[in-house]
Amino acid sequence: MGAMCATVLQPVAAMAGTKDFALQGYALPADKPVTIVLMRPDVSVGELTAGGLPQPNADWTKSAREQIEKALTAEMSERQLNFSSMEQRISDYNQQKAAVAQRCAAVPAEAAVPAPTIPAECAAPVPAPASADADPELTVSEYNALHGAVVQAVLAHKYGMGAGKLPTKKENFSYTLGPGAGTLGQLAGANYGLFVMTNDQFASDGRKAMQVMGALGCIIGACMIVRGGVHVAYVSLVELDSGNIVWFNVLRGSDGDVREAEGARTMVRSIMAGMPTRPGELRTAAVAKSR
Amino acid sequence: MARLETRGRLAAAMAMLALAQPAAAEPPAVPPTPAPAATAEYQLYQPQDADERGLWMTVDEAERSLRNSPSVIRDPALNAYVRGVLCKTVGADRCRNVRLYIVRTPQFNATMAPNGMMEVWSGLLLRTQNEAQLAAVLGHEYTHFEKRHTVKLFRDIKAKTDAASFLSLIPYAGIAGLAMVSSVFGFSRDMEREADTGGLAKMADAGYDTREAATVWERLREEMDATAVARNTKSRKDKNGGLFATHPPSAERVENLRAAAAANPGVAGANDAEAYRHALAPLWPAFVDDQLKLNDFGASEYLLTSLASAGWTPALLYARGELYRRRALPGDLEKAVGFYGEAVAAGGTMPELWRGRGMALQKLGQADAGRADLREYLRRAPSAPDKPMIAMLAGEGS
Repeated sequence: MGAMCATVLQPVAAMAGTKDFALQGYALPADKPVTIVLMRPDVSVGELTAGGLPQPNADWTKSAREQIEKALTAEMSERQLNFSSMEQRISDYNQQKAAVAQRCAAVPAEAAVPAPTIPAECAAPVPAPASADADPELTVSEYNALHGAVVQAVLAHKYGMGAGKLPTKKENFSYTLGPGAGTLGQLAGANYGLFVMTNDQFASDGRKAMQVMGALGCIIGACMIVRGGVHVAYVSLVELDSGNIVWFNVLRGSDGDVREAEGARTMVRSIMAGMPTRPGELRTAAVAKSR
Repeated sequence: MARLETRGRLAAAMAMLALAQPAAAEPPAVPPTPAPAATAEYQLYQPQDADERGLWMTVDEAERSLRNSPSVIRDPALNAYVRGVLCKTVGADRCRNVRLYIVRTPQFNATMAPNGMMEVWSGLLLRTQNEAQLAAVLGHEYTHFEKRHTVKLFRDIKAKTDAASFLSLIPYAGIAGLAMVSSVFGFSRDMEREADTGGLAKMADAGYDTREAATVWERLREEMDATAVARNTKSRKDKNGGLFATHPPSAERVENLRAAAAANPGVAGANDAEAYRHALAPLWPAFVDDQLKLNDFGASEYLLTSLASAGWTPALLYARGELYRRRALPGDLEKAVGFYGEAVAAGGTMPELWRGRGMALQKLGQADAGRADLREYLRRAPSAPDKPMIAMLAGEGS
């Protein structure tokens, strides 16, 4: 009985772990520069109330997003890879478009003055930074949505989250967004895309009290295991020319408080450890499993 | 909040809030706090505390996805019209808090999120018959927003789930836990009453006939009855659940709205039905088509018949033909052929009239007449997307 109690009271955070998949023997190209564009990270941080209701927290989320982006930038510069932000790219493009629109706003022609000549830049729309004639923002959000759907399949069929693992997906890791993802590459001047999702729900004091109370029940033989905070994250590396997801990793459990610089750095280190490198380059951590 | 599940990880909080579904809303405190850095979007309201800022953040994220969603109808004329009705109903100042998204989905719904994101579904536009009825729904939603119902509901759920959890650790407290759950629902039903009352007052101030508010819910009840008759089931009109979890179009509700309208009639007869029909005309064939695809014969027939109260137009006859052709019970195909024929006789020129009639005739065994109609369709719509298939049915090599 006592032993059981001790097991229950073990902090869950100690069980943080990652599990990653990569394309069979995939390595970054040795013969050309690698530029990775970071898609806008999907970050939520909140608090788990005593009743188990996650309560979103705007300040925590904002600082976690900033810290995670900083930590990723540091990580990529350690790996000597070029790193850029899709969000920044889109906002630059939108600003450029707005500036041109402002400069080209019709000047009322006065009667005696000949019609004003249209500056060259106003005659044509601001070229989108990609071949796609679609609005870049639309393209990006479409690929974000597509990627989200593919990831759901990865989580279901490789990790068995919410569904069974698929026997046909057992031996290999083959998921793709299709070659159209090249548009994202042209948009950002990058050859890889990095998608990041983190979800951290810290246990509130009330929730912790619930856990203790539930565990105390073990003494009278009525255990009630109450889950503490929730911490889960994934990263996904996409080769934009082919659209293939070449590496995917899930981190379960807390590996540092993402709201602070140091915690975010620790979290990013552990989740990025197995990311593919160039051939012959030393891995920063255990060799990524190629399944 | 109805469709926030688009973000896979929306917290259970949001799932819970879907209870307040077809009308989640609230802005910050009633005395507007002029925030120093208020953006144009948040003219009147800023979130007040941690709870509210967290909720706003969550719906801001949801709005990011919605903003670029292919389901959003971007037709400028329709957007301008619906926005115009909203502004007329709630006033130009309040209107600035709202970012309107018309979403193409054939269900009766409108939602409003705490940050000012309003969704109006095309299925609602198909069901309201005039501007006053649309104003009734928009005013109702805006009242939820103005009274900050979402954040109140969230706090209420939080308090009650906390209490229920602690109770569940104590043996035999399960019944108390159940009581908590039902009181969460009760809480939002009070909000519904508040939104009905507030929406009706806004309608009256805007100079609409407030009797139309009750009509919206009355027609919804009739539609549910029609569905039930066609499906041979029990009508869901007094059921709490699904889309109407907190919005039961109950008889009591209709009565309350009737009484409120009698006390505050607005402008009798002012419902702007003509303006409404004119605004909807370009898009409603698509909306009707979405409705037909729901495979809900009773509701579709009810809606078409009520839309035809002013006479069966070729477009309505076409829709009815499609409805009967797709159901294809004994006798339906003959009726469908009749409706298509009436539409052509009434001057209808939609190529699809000949396609529908041709397919119905073929099913009735009149192969030659059917093929002739299908060829007429191809002649009228030479670049139709389904050309190869119809050409095959028409006996032409594609």
